[in-house]
Amino acid sequence: MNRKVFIFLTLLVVLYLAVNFATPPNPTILLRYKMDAGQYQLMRASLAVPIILVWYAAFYGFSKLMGYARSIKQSPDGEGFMWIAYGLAVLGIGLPVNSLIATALSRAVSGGMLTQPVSTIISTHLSVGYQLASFFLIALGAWKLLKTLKKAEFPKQSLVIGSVLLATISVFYIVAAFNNPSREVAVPPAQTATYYMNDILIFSTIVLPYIFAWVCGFFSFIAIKTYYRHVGGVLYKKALKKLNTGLLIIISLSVFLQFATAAITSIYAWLLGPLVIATQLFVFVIGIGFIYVALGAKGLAKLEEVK
Amino acid sequence: MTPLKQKTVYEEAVVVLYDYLGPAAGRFLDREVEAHLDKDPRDITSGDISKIHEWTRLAIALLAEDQKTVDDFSESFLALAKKHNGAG
Repeated sequence: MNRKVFIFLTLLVVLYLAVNFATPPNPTILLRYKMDAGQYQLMRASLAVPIILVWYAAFYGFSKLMGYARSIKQSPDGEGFMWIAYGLAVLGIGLPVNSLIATALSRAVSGGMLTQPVSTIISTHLSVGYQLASFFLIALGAWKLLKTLKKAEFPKQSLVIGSVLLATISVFYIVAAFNNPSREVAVPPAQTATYYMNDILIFSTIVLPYIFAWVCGFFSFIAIKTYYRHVGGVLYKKALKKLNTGLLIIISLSVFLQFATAAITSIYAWLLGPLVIATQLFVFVIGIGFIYVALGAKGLAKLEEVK
Repeated sequence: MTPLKQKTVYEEAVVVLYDYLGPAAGRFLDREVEAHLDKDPRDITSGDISKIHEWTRLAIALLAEDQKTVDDFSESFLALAKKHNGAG
């Protein structure tokens, strides 16, 4: 990993740990999860270690891919890989920055420095914003990569299955978001509202951007698969396979996670506990995806180094 | 009617290498020629093919995990040499 990238991440980790453990936990959260402060800190500590490991994996993955893309930047495929690396960088940096800001906002609310609606509006938009930017950049890169091939057709079966799946989760998400009674104001038993915005703002600034992000994710998934299927070179494909696997894991699980956290929690509050555990597992697998990206990028870089 | 443009030795070598290195083929050949033949890759002639074969074979052996890939590559490149020089 690049030294500057490593120092930047370590700084974020220190800040994250400081914000999490140097201040007492948010009483609203303790009430919601029915825990005392000690139990909550213990739970946070057990969650923090794998999360931090995933951040390092993410930074390692995107910095390796960026290094590879930079080494071939003059070539047509170099441009595609560079945009994908930018997208992964936004996703990778977004993970700790988003967590850090969300935690800081929550602390600011419990300290009386910020109101809950302001905190919620900032954190929900930050979350959708970085994920949308990331998937848009990855899709752009995947499209540029695909354009380097003389002829490459999207597999029709995957297109149909993907479109149906995308339409289903989008409809489910819209229904879930607008059936959530606590979307604008907190309705008991909910302690806080999910968005603190009216329906028009929820639709235009949260729901639509998420759906667009999933469309970009789906497009990237198909484009990367198609590129892998049609590109030539036995040794190139062997190295590309790991990168491809990593990208497909990151894209598909990130889309699923966005959907799960955005849609399911807004309507099925009782699923929150199991969902937190499942989310941690998925985030961990996304970390493995980033490791695959790094290994694939290393293999591809080897093809560019040997003389 | 314009006659079809004949491929240069460089282009033909890239075609052979593409089956193994995909989009990295051209960049790989450029590095090999610049490092070992000390000339502009676009200026290679049929007389350079044997030497390029020697070096690229070694490089492919470093990248491939199995001997079969190396042998297949070598065979394809020798066929190119034969086409141009009548010998490997």
